[in-house]
Amino acid sequence: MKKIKVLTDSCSDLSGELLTKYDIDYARMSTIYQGQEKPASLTWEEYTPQELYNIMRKGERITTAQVTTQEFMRIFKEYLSKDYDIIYIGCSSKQSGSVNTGTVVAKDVLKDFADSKITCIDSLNACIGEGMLAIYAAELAAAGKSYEDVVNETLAARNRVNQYVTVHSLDALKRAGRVKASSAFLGNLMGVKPILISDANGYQTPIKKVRGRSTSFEEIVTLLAATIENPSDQTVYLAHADCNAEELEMLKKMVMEKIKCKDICTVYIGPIIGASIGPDAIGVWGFGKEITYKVSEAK
Amino acid sequence: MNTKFLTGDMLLEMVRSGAECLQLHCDEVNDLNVFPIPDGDTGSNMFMTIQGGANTECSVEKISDTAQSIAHNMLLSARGNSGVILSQLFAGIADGLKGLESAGISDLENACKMGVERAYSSVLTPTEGTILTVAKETSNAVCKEDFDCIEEVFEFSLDEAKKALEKTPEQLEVLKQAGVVDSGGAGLVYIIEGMQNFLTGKKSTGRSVVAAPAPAESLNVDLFTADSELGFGYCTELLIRLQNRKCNPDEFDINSLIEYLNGLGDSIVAFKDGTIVKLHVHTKTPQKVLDYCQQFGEFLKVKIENMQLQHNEVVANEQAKETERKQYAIIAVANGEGIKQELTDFGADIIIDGGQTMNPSASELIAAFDKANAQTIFVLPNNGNIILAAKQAAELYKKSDVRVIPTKNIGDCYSVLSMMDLEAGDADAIEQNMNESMVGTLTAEISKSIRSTQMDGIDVREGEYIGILGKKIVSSDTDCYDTALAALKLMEPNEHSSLIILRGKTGDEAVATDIASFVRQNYPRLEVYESFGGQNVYDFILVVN
Repeated sequence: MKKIKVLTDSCSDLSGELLTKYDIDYARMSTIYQGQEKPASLTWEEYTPQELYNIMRKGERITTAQVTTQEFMRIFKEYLSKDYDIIYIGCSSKQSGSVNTGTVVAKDVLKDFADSKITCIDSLNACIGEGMLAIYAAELAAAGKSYEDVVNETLAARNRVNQYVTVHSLDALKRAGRVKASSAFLGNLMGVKPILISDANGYQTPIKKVRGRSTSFEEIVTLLAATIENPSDQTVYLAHADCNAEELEMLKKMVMEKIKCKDICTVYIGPIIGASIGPDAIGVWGFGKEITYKVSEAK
Repeated sequence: MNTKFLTGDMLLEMVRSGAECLQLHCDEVNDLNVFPIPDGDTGSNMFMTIQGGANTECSVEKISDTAQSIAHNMLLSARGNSGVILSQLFAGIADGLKGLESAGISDLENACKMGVERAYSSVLTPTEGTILTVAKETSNAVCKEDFDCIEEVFEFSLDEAKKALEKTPEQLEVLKQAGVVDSGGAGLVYIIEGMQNFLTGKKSTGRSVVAAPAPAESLNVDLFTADSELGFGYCTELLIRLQNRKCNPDEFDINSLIEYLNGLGDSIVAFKDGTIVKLHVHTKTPQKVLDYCQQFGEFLKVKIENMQLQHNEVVANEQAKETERKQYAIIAVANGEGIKQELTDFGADIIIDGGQTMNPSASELIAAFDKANAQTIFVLPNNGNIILAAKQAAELYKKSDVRVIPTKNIGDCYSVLSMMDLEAGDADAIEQNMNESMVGTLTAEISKSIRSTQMDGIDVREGEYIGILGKKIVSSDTDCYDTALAALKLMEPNEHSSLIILRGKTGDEAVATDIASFVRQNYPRLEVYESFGGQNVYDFILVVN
C-alpha cells in the first residue's frame, strides 16, 4: 500500500501551522489586482492579510482565478513521483471549477503513473469547512486507514460540516456572484446581518437575517451550539477576514460559554475566500448534524 | 476547394486560424456575461487555451500525432471552465484520430463524436445551453449528413453551431434573463469559423454572429387535439377572380352571395371590385363556401384558420399569465427618489408616491394591487394617516389576500424590509415577522416649523428647526445639527445597533456628515448608514434599530 498525500487548494484557509501539523499541501489559485496575478498563498508570502483586506476596505476589487491545469500537473506529479497516492479535497464545485479541472488533469497525469491513484473530492464546502475535511482525511490516513476508506469516510463527512458565517456587508459576495439568494434577500441591508451556511449541494446561501453585529455573533454561536455533535471530542474553528482583536475575543468567549468543545482554533480567511466574502466576515465551524437544506437552484 | 483528407499540417493551421478568429472576437465573448459587469473572461480564457494548441511545433505530418500534441498543449494552457471543456473536446478529437496518417470525412465525424463525449465526461454535472450543447448538437448534425468534401463539413458545422448557439437562451434560464447567448458556445462558434476560413482561404473578420434573437412565434398545434371540439369554426378569407367561362362578372350579384353565406356562418364581409371578389366569414363548414364560390370563379388566395385553436391559445396564454402571478408582492407608500430606490432594492415591488402631505386614494391603492398580481400582497403605508385607507382598500379588494403592515413612518418601513424574508414561512408567519421587526425601531424627523407655537412643553418659533419623535416635538433650535442631535440623544443610541440618516431635498450634506462623525465618536457600537432620501418636508429622517 502506498502512502497517502492529502491535497487541498487555496480556498481551504488552512494556516501554515495546520498545513505543517497535518502534512497537507495545497494547489494554488491566484488573485488578480490591478492586472497583476499572484499565487493565492495561505502563508501570505505575496501580501499580508491586512494589506489584502485594506485594499478591499478602500472599495477596490480583487478578482480570483481557479487552480490552473499547470498547477495541478505540478502538484500531482510532485507527489506521484514521490510514490504517494493522492486525495485532493477541493472547494465546492458550486464555487469553483477547480475540482473539475483537477479531475481532468488527474486523468492525463495518471497516464504516466499507471499504478498510482488520484481522487478529486468536491468538498461541498469552502473556507475552513473545506480545510476541516482535509484535516479529517489526513488524520484518517495517518491512522493507517486504507486509501478507499479515507476517500469514502471523507465523502460521508462532507454534509456534516456545519458552517455559520456572518458578514459585515454583502458587497463583496454580491460582486463576486458567490452567494445564492433572492435579490430581495441581498438588498441593501443597513445594519441587518445575514447568516450564511454551505448548503447540502455546496452553495453558499443565507438562511436568516439578524439585526446588528453583536446579535449576529450570538446567532452564529447559538446555531452551532444547536447542531454540533460530540463537541468535547473536536476543535471548533473560527475563521475571520481581518476582524479586530476585540471582536475575535468576544466571539471566542461566546463559543467557550456555549459550546463545550475540546479547543478553539482561529484562522485567517485566505485571499480567495476573502476576495469573495469581503473584510470583517467571520464564522464558526464544527462537525455536527447532517446539512439537508438546499437553496433553490433557480436563484 | 475539394479536400478529401485532412493532414496534420492542415489541422494545425486550422487550429491557428480558429485561435486568430477567436482573438478578433475576444472582447465580444467576454462581454457575454450573465452578470452586467465588465468582468467576463470566457473569451480570454478560451483564447489562451486554444492559443496553447496553436503554438504547437509540428515536425511530423501524421494527423494522429499532431492532434495529440495540440490537445496536450491546450490542456497545459487551459484556463477557466470553458477552457478546460475546450481542451477536453480536442483531447477527445485527438483520441478519435489516433493512429491515422490523415483523416477522411468519416474519421472526422467519429472524432467529433468522441470529442463531445470526452467534453461531457469532463464536467461533474453537465449543463445544457452551454458550449457542451453547442458542440454536441453540431456533432450530431454533422454525423447525420453526407458530405463530398471537408470544406462542406465545416461549412455545415458552422451553420449548425450558430443555430445551436442561438438556442442556448431557451435552454438556460440565466442566459434568457440576461438576454445573452452562452459565452463558451460563442467562443466555439468563432473557433469553427476560423477553421472554416482556413479551408476556404477567407480571412477572419470581426463580424459578430452572437446576438441573441427573439424566438419566433409559432402555432402551437397541441392546443387542438383529437378530442377537441370545434366551437368557434374557421376564419375563412377568400380572394376570388370571377371567370368569364363560369358567369358574367359584370352581372355577378354580391348580395346573393352574402345571403348564401348567412346560412353558413357569421361575421360576414364581402365586396366586389371589378372581377375580384373578396370575402370573409366565420363558419364551421368552409368547404361549402369554397364549393359555392367556385361556381363563379377561381381562387387567388385562400386562408382558413381554426379559431378554436386561436381561442385555446389565448386561454393558454392567460393561464400562463395566471401562473406568472407571484406568491407575494410588497407595496410601499413613499416619497423621495432616494428612498424609493432603496425600498425597491430592499424588494418592494411597487412604490406608490405619497406621504405626509399627499395621501394616496383608495383607487390608487387598488390599481397598485392589480398591478402587483400576487396571491398575497403586503402593504406598507408608512404614515399614520394612510394606514386606515390602506386597510379599507384591502377589505374592498377580493382578487388577492392583502395584508396591511401598520408602518407609521419610513423608519418602520426600513426596519420591516431590511429584515424581510419571504421564505421564512407562510403568509401568516411573514406578516408576524414583519410586525415584530418594527418593534424597537425609533424614527425622528427633522423639519422646519412653519409657525410659532408651543407644543409638548417646547417653544417653537417660526422658521426654526424642530425634531419630531413619534408624534411629539422633542427639540427645537435655530441650528439643524443641534436639533437633530437633541432628538438623537432621546433615541437610546446605546441600546441600538444601527442608525440610518436619510437626507431630504432640503437637508445639508455637511450636517449629515457631522451627525455621522458625532455618532462614530460617541456611540462606536452604532453602525451609521448615510443616504440621500430626497424626501420632501423633512430635512433629515433619523432611524435607529
